[in-house]
Amino acid sequence: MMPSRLLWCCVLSIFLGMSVFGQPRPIFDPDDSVDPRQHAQPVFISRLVAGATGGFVDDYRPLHQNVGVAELANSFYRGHFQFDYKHSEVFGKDEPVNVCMCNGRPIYFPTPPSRDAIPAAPPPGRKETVQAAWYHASGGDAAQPPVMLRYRFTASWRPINTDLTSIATGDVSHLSGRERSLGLDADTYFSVHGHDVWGSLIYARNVRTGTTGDRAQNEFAYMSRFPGRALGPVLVRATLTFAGVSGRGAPGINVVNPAFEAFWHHARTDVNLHLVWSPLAMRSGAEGWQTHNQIALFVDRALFVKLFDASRR
Amino acid sequence: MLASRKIKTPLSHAASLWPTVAVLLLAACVPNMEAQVTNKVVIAMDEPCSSTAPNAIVVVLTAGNQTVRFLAKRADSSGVWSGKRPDDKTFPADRVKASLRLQGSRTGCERSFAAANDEKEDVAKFIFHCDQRGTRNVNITTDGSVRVSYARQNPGCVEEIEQATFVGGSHPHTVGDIWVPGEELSLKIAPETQGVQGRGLLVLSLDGVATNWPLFSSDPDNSALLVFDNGGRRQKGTVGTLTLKRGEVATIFIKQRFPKGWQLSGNASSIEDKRLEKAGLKTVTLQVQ
Repeated sequence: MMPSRLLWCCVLSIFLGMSVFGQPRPIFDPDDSVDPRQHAQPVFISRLVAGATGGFVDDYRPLHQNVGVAELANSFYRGHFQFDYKHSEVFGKDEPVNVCMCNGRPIYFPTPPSRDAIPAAPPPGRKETVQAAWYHASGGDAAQPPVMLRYRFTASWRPINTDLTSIATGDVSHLSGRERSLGLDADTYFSVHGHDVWGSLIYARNVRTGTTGDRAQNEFAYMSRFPGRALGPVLVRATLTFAGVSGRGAPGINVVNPAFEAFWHHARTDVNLHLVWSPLAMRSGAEGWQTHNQIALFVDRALFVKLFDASRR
Repeated sequence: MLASRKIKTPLSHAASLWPTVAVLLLAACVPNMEAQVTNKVVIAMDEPCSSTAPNAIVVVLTAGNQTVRFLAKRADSSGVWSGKRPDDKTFPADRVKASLRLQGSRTGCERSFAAANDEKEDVAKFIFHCDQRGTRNVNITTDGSVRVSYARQNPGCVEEIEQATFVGGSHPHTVGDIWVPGEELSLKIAPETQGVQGRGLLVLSLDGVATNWPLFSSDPDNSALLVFDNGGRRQKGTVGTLTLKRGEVATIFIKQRFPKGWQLSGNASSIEDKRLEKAGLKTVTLQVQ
């Protein structure tokens, strides 16, 4: 008992001590959970996602513009393990940044939000993400098969390149920055008075360096997943997330984020159409509670599916 | 205070074992009471089901995880049918379950008890109750020679599931005498490539309610059949036919596995679709009549 507890403590300490942590799924990243009991052999899937998002919010940081989104997700499933590599792109406008060297130190325009305000989202661009997940069967009895819970580690990296125009001379210089993140999310399941309660616990941290507004934030969130309902051919499902995000001058729960998704699968073309509405209420020390509406419309389709021969395992 | 303590000597310890030893000796002396095994059944009804009782009835016997179907014949007009397992394998006379298929009706499951027939042979005897509920047949057609296994279960046979495997094709395979609602019927297509999981494509559910998105159900009064297409829309009729393309089969299967919806992912559907494609399936036609 003690060694395993010690091991968990060590693992947790390592993660908590790391300088960067992961972030919640972007709104356009479709669910890729696959029950390992479904496949007898290893599987590789490449999936393409494309769409548009109004009022894009990146990891609880509003971008204040509408963007195009695309993602190529490559997933490999073997037994109870899942590994992903995802390349995503957000297409939007880069805000021009001017710089004034005043009293020997740079002042940027537009001025980055203050330390007790909600940080600005990174500018549109690409992001690389790797994930490793483990599925664990929990509960179950003779009448009910065990539920399959997923525990996932996420690491992502994105370059943030900024062109700076000197207000005084008009010269253009260049900043090469990046945002790195690592995160853990764990599915949860319990029963309250006979009602199943599904959800996810998410811990994440991301750090932005080499930019005009370097910031870091820790996030701890619980996402409750409500049962879906079929409305004709459309599946409607909802989540409710409560999160505490550091680095915005408002300790405690400072994000409340319901999300509603309509999901339609077209069997003939194997295309999935998603419409997601995600209103966010966020609190910061400087601005108090603010609400943002994020709406995403996107499609996804498997480009390549390979079932490996089970006998070669 | 000094408590008086009984000091246990090796002899007194042995004495305390005497009752156990006596029971063991008695058990060894009693003739061996092995469970009776047989390959024969005797069927009786506790009341006549109709004025014209059939001379032959189909017995579906579940022994262990094997399901065997065979005919039991009536020797005279006494209302007792006798049959023998066709593969001659034996089973415990008092530990198997069976139900009857009566062409248009069926019985629930009953457990056997050991008995002897007129020839003084050991048999498994069943006494069935009449059930006047009508049954339906499910015809299954695939567009290729894909292996299909089905499992059907009714509440009386919670721990015994009737299952069989057949090779699909253009000629329909009939799963006969099913209660709708009242029985669960699920299909596993190309079961040899399917992962470890509880059940396959749910055609009929036990309660008949669309909580797990079965493909067919019925009105509560069983007056009309309800057919749920891929979109979950209902059609009503006396006969229900559903032709599903491979992609639809995959999507419906994943929807049924995750009726709460939140674990429904495109990758799960795509994996199932690919598996069915590799098995050579294009369409499945299900007809409930």
